[in-house]
Amino acid sequence: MTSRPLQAVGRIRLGWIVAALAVLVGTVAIAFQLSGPPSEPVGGATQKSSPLSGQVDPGPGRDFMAIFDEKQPLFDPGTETSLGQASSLAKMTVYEPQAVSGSTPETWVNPETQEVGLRYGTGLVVYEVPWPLSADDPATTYDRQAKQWQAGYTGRISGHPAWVIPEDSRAPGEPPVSVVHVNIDGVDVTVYAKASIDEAVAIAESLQPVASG
Amino acid sequence: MRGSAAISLRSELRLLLLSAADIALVPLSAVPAVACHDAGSPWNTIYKPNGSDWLGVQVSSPGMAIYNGDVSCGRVSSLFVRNSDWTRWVEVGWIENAGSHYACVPDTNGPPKILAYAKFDGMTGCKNPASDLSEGTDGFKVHDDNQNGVWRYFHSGNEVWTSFDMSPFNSGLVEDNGERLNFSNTAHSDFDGLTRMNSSGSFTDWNSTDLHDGDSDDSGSHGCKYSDTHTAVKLNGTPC
Repeated sequence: MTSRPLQAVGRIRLGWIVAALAVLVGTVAIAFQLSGPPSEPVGGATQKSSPLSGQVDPGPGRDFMAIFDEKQPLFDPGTETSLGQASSLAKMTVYEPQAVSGSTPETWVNPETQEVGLRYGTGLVVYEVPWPLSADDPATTYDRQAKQWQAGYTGRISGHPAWVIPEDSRAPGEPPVSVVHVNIDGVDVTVYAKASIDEAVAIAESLQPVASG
Repeated sequence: MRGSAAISLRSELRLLLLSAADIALVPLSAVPAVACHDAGSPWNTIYKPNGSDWLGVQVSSPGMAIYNGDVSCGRVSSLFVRNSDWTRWVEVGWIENAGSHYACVPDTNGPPKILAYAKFDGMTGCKNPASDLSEGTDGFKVHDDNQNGVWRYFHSGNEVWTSFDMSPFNSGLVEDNGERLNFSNTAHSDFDGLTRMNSSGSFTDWNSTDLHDGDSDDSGSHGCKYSDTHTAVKLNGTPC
């Protein structure tokens, strides 16, 4: 009987120690997620973070998922055009995914910035822009971006440099979208798909130049 | 007795360790921010000049007004550069974030802090921690002057942050923004000395400046355009 109080005290002490450790581990984990690993900052503070529930971005940026909303213009500024006209307006080769052939995309162009956007229904957007001449080569850049943004992996798709970001490689709070960047002869093509990463890669693999119309 | 105590202890230990794991694995998205912002907010009043292919944006001489209001929720005064479908943008200015309603950036309790923010394909980067700011009028700018996809952020001439590599995003539409999260706080902002970086790397005055979409989306505020390079946001009832 005399051992009971001691055991109880021992359990209580152990309980408090483990509870304190639990809180510490939890706090460290949360702090790590909030702070992220250090990088090469100017000003001593750089971080990648993801929104908590209910948080918003500062600034008037629209919600990322709005790109899939057919009621909203894909581009602002920009104009809607035909797929055949996009190349001549943007003065670059435009690529169309053959994996969704038969579907006519809603096509948007900003001729000033040479941006082109193709929207297929409410689940797929293909965004295209020339690769800057002053940037590092795409493969080197994608490697750096995957590391800095802590998202996805790099490789090649149909022989072209690519950065593949599966939905489940993203942090909590980031949009539930598979993203594939592929650089085809100086055009950076980004596939945003509400689909599996395998389907998004298949879409990127099927990109072919659009004939100018 | 000893055996059952040991089993009980192991169970307790397992339970407590499980609690530790649970705490460690709780997704941040499950932690709610305290709701204070109006449904549909943020409320923004945005001015933009002509053109959509600028390498940077600046306000200086005198600059952007900084207010240290009694903010119970969120307030932003900022400049930004964005692409045409809103998937990529950079933003610089100041922020009041009482209660962590904004993502990534530090909470504020007292004076506003420097805002340096980057958004790339749904992913977020920002300066955190960030310095307190005093009331006054300071210069701010953000640009990718060497066109390598890395944006540089400045306050009063000092470089305060650099973004991760955002290639191929290295230019875009420039705008200024006065913002609040609820109608209990003022939306007062003032930008005097607005310029944008052209393809030669020189800052030139904004021109043909106008409200984005022709109006503020803040029904309690209005924009004031004093000139192409000087805009402000004031509460309704307060004249320009």
